[in-house]
Amino acid sequence: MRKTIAVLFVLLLGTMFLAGCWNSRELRNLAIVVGIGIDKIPNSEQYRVSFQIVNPHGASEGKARGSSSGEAPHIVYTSVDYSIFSALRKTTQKVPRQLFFAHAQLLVIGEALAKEGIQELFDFYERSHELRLNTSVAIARGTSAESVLKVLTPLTTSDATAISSRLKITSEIWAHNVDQDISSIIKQLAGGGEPAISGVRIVDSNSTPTSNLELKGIALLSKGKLAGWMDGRTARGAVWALNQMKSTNVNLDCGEMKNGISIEVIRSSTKVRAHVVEGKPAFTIKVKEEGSLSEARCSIDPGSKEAMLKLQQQLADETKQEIELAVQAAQAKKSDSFNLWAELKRTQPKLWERIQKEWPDIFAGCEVKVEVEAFIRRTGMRGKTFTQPQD
Amino acid sequence: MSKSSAISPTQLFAMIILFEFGTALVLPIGLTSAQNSWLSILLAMPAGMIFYWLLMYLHRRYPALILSAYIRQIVGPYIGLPIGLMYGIYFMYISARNLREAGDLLITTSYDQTPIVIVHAAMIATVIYIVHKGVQVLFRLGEIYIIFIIALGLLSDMAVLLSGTIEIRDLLPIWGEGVGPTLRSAYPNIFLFPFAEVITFATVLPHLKQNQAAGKIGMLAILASSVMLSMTHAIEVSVIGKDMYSRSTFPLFTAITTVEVAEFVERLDALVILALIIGVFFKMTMYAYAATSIVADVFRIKEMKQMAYPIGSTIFLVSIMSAWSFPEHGAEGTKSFTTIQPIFLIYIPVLLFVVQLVRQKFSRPSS
Repeated sequence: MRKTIAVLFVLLLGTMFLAGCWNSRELRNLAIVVGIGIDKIPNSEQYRVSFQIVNPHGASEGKARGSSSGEAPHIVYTSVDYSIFSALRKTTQKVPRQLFFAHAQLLVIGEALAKEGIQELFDFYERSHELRLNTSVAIARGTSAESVLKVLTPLTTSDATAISSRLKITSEIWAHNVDQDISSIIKQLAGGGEPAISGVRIVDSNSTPTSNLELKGIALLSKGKLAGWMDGRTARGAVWALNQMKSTNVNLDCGEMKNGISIEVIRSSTKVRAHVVEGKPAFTIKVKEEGSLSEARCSIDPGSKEAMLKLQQQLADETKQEIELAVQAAQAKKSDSFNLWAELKRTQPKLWERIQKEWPDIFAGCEVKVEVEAFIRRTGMRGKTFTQPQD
Repeated sequence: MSKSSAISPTQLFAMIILFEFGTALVLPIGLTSAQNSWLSILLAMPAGMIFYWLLMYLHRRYPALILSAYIRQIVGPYIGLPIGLMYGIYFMYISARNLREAGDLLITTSYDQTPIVIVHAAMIATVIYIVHKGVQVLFRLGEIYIIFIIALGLLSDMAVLLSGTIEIRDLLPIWGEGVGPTLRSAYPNIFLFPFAEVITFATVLPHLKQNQAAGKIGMLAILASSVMLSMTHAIEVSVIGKDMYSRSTFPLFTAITTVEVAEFVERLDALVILALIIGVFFKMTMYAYAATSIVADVFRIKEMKQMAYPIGSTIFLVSIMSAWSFPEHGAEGTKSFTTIQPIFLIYIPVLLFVVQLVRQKFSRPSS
């Protein structure tokens, strides 16, 4: 009997210690950070780090703005310090809750900082166990990261989530941007190439706070420093060269009519081959793409094989031109944003070892051939256009 | 040995797999060739099997004796006793190292506010309890947990595959740095850790129920565990890349954090932590058990379980005091590959084997 009581006592004692975690954190004491922005203070070694935090009251209304509570769906806090981590801790002087980073989805880098170099920014992301390596990254174009994060976006509760979801969607169906995450940026910077990072800018900035954000272009970096931007067709060429093309729309000329035909590219794959020509590396970028006719403002007859073959050739030529534009832009800035180094390292490890140090210069003078094979498989719900050819 | 402490072949199989996984699943192994660690594992496997065969050979000669006891039989009590005792100390040290690895992973990944003493104390208390209960409880537990480990492995592999973060091309070029580094990380590094560590099983083999099956079962377990280990490390490299793999303190953890399936299945870190805790628990318990049984054998203590508390507390203290930081702990481990590990895992076993062969040859005419 005595023994039973003793055992029971010990067990009950145990429950006292087992009831909670040592490391427990209560939800009501956390401030959930969804986006982080980093800027450089001019003429100083310090960073201005901004944290976009979800406002549980503003966000729970279901609608972003105009909710009856009148509270903003998100709040931005900023701190200035020499390291990202100390800025983060300093922010606790302003935030009533503990910052929680496991849901941070976006990192915005200010353009001024990007020009000075982004290399030193990512160590904290690697070392921390709370931040995620699959966080999307964008460069604030022509503005600071702080002002990008402060923009209130329609249709969502937080603009950090809005940018990262936009990055995903537009990269997949319009393909003028790339959705680059931190782990692949680190892979590039550690390996010898340059990461391709999308730009984000504020449009309509005089009507704040209802201004909107827009993804614009892909940054070209040289030695980790922002060197230029690729836009429009050049940017799409870069997406093609990176083998990240999923779907896009290509406009083709239809006889006299400029951009009269829209082709929806529905599938595309890019293969890069590295070879050695007279001791120097050279590359072939091979693209195989499939598309379908999605809009024709002039009259064409898909029934005729000739017309279709001509269209296919036009599509292939256009793709080739775009990729060449991108390659030229990158070579002009000595910025291997297309992962060519990785292919060289895989296939010619010995050569790579030798030229690794001067790679940016060698890349700028490399011969890059582009070969494109295009197929137009379908024409949508109709064959012929209802307008008749006018000749 | 008493019938009550018999181990079945299935239990042996499960235990060897859990033991080989231990920390090798989560930590970077091989050291010299990061990209080819998966290949190095497969290259080191044959030697691991030969080593196991050697242990089985010695076990067949002395089926009722544990490691320290047959060392005394082979080389005589005057040399055998100190060697046996040294094995006991060595096993305690490795057990402490395992505990430290588990503790540091838990603290860096999730329990950043918790003192290491608390984490270690919670684990060592369980270890002491199991060692106190005896070998059969340990092996039965292994039989249950092998299912957990395999389920966890399948689940995380599926998640990684579905999330599409695998870049098989990151494994290429296979011979980019030449054959040298790959072989060097296989021999001696991966052969020593984890393959040659099966020497701890020399302290439980006398408890086996069916002696004949032990050889085949052990080989199968080594084959299965090395294939699974190799696969896991290949996936790690192909997910996070060679550079990040070689800089990571816990590459499997980093690899699993990149998993994101349909924006829904994310943050599977808990699976890795669970796998590590299970693996480390069995590995360190196995070491603690081996140390306890050797100390009990050397000092002729009848009730082995009396030794569970002192050995457990020593492991606990050593785990905290042996290194002031995790990098130092790692450096100590690297150093041990060229210093103490080969002595206990290669030189002494091979020496025992040779002496045994010679003695058999010369004793035959007299018998």
